[in-house]
Amino acid sequence: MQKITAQIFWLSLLCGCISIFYFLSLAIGLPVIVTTLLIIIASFFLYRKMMQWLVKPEVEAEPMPPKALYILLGSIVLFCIFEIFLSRKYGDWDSITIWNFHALFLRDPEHWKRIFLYTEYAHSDYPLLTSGTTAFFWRLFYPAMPGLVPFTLTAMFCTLVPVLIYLELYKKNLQLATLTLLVFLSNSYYLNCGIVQYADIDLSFFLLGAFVAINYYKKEAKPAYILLCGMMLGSCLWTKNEGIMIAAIFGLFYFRTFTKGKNLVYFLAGIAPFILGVAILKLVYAPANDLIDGQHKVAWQNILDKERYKLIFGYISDKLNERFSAIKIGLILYVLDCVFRQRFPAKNLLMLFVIMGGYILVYIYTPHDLEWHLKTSVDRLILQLVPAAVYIMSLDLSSLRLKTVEQ
Amino acid sequence: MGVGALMYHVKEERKSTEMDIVCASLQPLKASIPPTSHLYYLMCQGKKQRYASSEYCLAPVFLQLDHNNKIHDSTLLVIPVTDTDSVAYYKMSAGKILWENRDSLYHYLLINPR
Repeated sequence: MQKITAQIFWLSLLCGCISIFYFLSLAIGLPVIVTTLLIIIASFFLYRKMMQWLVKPEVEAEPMPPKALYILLGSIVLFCIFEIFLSRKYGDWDSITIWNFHALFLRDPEHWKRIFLYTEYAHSDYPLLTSGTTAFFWRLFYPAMPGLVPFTLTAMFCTLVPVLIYLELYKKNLQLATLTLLVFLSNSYYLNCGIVQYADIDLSFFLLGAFVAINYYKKEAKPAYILLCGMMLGSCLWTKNEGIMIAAIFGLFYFRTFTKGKNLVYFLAGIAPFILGVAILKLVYAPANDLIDGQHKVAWQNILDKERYKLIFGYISDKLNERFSAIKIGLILYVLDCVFRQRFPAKNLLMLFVIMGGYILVYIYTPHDLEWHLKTSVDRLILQLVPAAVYIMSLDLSSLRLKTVEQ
Repeated sequence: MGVGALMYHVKEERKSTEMDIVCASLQPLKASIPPTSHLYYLMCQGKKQRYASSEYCLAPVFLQLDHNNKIHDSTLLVIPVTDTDSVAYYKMSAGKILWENRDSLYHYLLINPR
């Protein structure tokens, strides 16, 4: 792995580290100065270990070709300009009622538990990676620059997603890597979601990171990548409730890899702190989730109701056309390529379809008004999977091209 | 990213939004009640956006949304200044007006039932 890729991973894991330490310190009542010191020590330790374990000296010695570097720097500048241009001071509905609202409570060491009084709209059972990180910095700097912390966090992930994909692809196929950057730069929905201070892009980054880590493991068979993958999946489940399902499905798909020899220890070491955080949050503090709490008698009727399926698939298709048309075309071309070459699509892409299937099951089951539920969330659920899908398809196509060139 | 964050700070942080106006108007109420207070919120004309802004500005005060359109002890109302009829109605039907404020957008009333 290149140093810059490892640094991107470190930066994202720093948010997980900060939010976990901060939440646990609130739970046990540690003073903020001790928490800050612990976070600084942990982040230095994490950085050193990650550079030691993940960075290959021979890869590090290879500088990035100037052309690839200019494309990368140019697109980072463009991302920053777009994000600033589109930014809104308080974000949007979910940031006001959920993410930043939770952070407002969490920054207050005396009254933070009062967030769990909210059982409507505020979704106080949601995991705390995004709001915990914001709350930590707000605790240190509030009321100075209240919008800057959530904006920087969300804009950082919005930029890191395409940058990570680019870094993973440019050596194999610079044109394809540049195309992926353009796909994200030209998708106004992606950019908009990236700056409204929601957690969907954060989650999409961690899922993407898990795929990148497992691909490195496949190449180099170093258990450190299993640890990294565990941490990425842990971050998924510490970011949003959907992340719990993502981590479970990912774990099932790579069950044999994660349980092979010492890998299990590494995987558990990576994911355990986040599982602990979620367990404490859900079992000790948070009210029941609205989907689970709304256990309804009509669940079976919902499963057998054809109209619900029609409505769900109709919405998914509409949102794909409306928000992700370039990705949809890419997916069709990829499937055609698979048919043409008589090969199966990548296993990881299949996993994304299974995750989407899981989301569809939640919609079938939902105790809420289905149309409202779809209208308010389906595009963001697709968005969570899009970066990983772009990465998987591009990697698969570039590997194929490499093989063809070598032959 | 650092330059981007600074540019955002210059562009956005100084901007006054509807949320800033609501927060500034609710600030005297927030300062006068303990953070452990429990207030009810009566939704006039069904705008959840106003409720969301109010609970955001008053946090960690617990602002419970009332679905039955009933006035409880310490009920907060945020009514557009243009809706003078509602302001007059709630002022009349309230037992006691505990606190009141007004800005360019809304009229804020904290009332007790009659």
